[in-house]
Amino acid sequence: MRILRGMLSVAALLAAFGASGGQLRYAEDRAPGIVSPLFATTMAEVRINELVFEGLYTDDAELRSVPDLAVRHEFAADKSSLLVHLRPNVVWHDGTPFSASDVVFTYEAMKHPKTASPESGRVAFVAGVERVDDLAVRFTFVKPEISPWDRLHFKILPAHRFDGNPEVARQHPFRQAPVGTGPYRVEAFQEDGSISLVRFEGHRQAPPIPAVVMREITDKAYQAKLLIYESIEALVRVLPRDLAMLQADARVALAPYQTHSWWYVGMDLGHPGFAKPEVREALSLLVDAAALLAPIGTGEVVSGPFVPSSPFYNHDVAAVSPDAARAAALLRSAGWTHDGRTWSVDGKPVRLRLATAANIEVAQDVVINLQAQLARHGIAVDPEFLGPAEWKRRVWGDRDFDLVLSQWTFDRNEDIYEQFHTKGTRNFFGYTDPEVDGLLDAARAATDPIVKKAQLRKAHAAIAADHPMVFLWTLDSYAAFSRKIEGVDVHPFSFFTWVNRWTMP
Amino acid sequence: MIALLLALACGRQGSPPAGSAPANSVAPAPRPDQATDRYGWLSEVTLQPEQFAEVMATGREGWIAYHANDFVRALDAFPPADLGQARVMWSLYLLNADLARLSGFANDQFFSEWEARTGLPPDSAAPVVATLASYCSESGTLAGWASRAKEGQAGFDMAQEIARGRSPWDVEGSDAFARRMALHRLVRTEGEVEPLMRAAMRPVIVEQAGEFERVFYDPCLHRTTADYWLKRTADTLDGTDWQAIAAFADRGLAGRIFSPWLRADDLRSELRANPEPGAVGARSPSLRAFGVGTNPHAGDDLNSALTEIASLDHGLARWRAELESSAGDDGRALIADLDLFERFRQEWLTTRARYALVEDRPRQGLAYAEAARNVTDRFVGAANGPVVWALLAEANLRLGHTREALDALHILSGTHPEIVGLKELTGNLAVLRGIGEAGDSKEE
Repeated sequence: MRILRGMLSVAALLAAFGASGGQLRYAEDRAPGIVSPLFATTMAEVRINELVFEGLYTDDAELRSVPDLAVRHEFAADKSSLLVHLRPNVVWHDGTPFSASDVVFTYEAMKHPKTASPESGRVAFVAGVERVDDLAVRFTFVKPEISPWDRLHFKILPAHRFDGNPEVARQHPFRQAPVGTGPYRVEAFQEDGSISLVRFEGHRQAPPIPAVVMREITDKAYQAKLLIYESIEALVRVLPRDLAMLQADARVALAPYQTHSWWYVGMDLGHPGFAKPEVREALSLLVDAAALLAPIGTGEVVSGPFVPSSPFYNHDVAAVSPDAARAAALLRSAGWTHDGRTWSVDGKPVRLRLATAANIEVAQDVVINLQAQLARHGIAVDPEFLGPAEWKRRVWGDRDFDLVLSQWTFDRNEDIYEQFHTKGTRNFFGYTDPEVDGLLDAARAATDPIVKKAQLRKAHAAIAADHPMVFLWTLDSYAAFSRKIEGVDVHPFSFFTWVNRWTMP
Repeated sequence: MIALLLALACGRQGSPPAGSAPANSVAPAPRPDQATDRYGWLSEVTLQPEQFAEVMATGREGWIAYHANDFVRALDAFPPADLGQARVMWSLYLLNADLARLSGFANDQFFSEWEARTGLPPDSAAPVVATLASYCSESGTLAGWASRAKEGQAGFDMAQEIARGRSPWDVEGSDAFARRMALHRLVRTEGEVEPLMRAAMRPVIVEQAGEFERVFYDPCLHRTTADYWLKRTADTLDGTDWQAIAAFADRGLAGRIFSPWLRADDLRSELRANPEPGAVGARSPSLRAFGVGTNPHAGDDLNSALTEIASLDHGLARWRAELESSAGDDGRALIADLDLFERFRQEWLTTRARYALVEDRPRQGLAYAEAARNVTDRFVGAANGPVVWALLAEANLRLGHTREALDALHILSGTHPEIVGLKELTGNLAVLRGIGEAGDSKEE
């Protein structure tokens, strides 16, 4: 299918997409794998969830927490509990009234071990949620909180669609019939991977734009052309090489969408080959990140798990520079042998599987170039391009990979706990380091911002020294919109948070 | 581009060699005729390249550096007390004034929010730093912070003196704060700025907080450097205050090229209106031809700013087409190689952004600053002057987008490492606003 779409001409795509008809059509590189906040692992899922679902609190335009499904709260004097009063007269997209039971259910589902939600870490600070009445819930916390409403942005699910059972299977039919309270409801999942949404007329602030269509367009060059030819109205990430063309086009407006993302090559640290730190460091030394970056855009090579503009980035840690001689020495010290052409371990030539997402063309370019780089140094790489479901199963579920090429995107807190703490819900690499665990725990508990900064800079240095992954780069990132859409204000992470204010005359 | 500049400046028209004529001795340029005056310096450069060559000949390397927004190099390259130097000094004043405003806002937010959110750590010099910051930003919270300083602590005496109405640089002493203020005094009384700039890379004070260090940088750095560059501008132009820049209107093309005021009358008109110094050019009459640069609408209406930007782009496109059709080969080459229209557009939009920010219209300020940014270049240079990043940082900060402000400051710090303290401060504020939160993260 991907190849077929790739062969289509722009003209054919234009014909296929037709006129807007009052729809806001936006392009994603890959469609959301699932429309359920319980199982969201990708930014495409975050963005569509923002249209369909709501949390108790959300961000206002100045990124302050304001009530959304909540209306007000009472914070206990000892800061150990929060009574949240819920917004009355809210209904789900199927007409069922929203109530406190939905909040309790959502918490229980996120935390239920058999649900295995990758979002469970977001409620780890909550000891329990109690229904006080139909429109009030009380949260009790594991320890006193400073501003718990800042942590209650996770999306609320309809208990009745799961019969109140918090053990939710990933394959639950809800994924094909999601029901939220948000400004748009899902109308249809199309065969071409697109998702149609229509304005939810029962919403308290029904948005001016009547319909939204998410289109998967894997070829970013097409995305830009389709925007110029007015066959889509927005694209989420502009390829850096298209920026000049789009900025010069009077029909297009650019909006910064810096989500503090960085690319990496992750290793399965449970793999015996990667248990030795010399091997991990050698791999880092064999990768020329700058050369891999150059063909795909402008950005900055990173030395660790933060972007260089982050307050947590440790500028005393230099990005790894390619050094084949040092890499060879390290590999030999780890017991690898080299026959002049290829590296072997225990007499067997080294051959690594490198997985990446199938439908992100930029990532595919990087994989091919990375394969060539490592091949030049005597390490064979077998690329594996995985579809969304396969990715979630093999990478997140089974950890069935040697290497992965991917990118992490962070909200403004740039919290790396889930990736690098031994207990992290996104730590599918199996990274564990007691010092880093201690620093990440301390940073989460810190009340002094300057000390927190110092703790995470130390964590940066410790993680970089461990080489649990090859840290690559951060890319400059912009979204692009047709000027037909007015009042566009993009949330720096969730994108559609303020869609209620967008208009399309 | 550089080759063209060099060719023109090396006397294709037989222009005089670069000299060291002081600013006040530059002869007034002949008044341009109607055609060349129509679009101010845009048309003068394009239609009379020989005039441009003459300007270049007054300090070729300086103008090249100034065009590249490399102010430090430009200052060194221009002859002493030259008009070109005055232009650079004014640009340095604008940048540092922008940074001082940003620093004042960030300090005010940081200390007040820290106190409200978790309380300041006991035994910290934070109240002294807040006192100092308050003095330099005139935020009005000075007395409150000074009263929180603890006797015996570094900076205590200074905080009390400031609360009594003295300026911090008049307070002598031997602790870390007094030593830093002595460097400010050196700038203000002797005009020696280098020691302060070197010290700017280091914190004023370092405290032990468990196994980590808590550091505070100088909150008054940019206030002093802004004052310094303003004074040097006025001195170089034989004036006494910022209105000395009226002299730019009388010095021909060299007083206007690469500025937000196209014509001498634009500058004069602005000075009569007596605006905020950094907003000079924001309401230039020349742009009224296409409905741009009028008094802003009341309120922080985003759409009015976007409409104005669209009108500006439409009008400039028309001007460009007209000039390209009437210019000779050299003129057309200058339009392209010097990015003349892009440069004017950015100068005007940043001025307009600053005007919006000082009038507390941050949404408009952000719209103008974003429009000014050339997104194809992520550094400070010819495509994006340093004020683009400073204004983006300020607009984002005023809108609560603290983390996004850091993105702009990170880029600015690449060429202006002295802003390390401001970057750390803004980072502190971003971290503070996430204290107690657990962040979200996803794969792209």
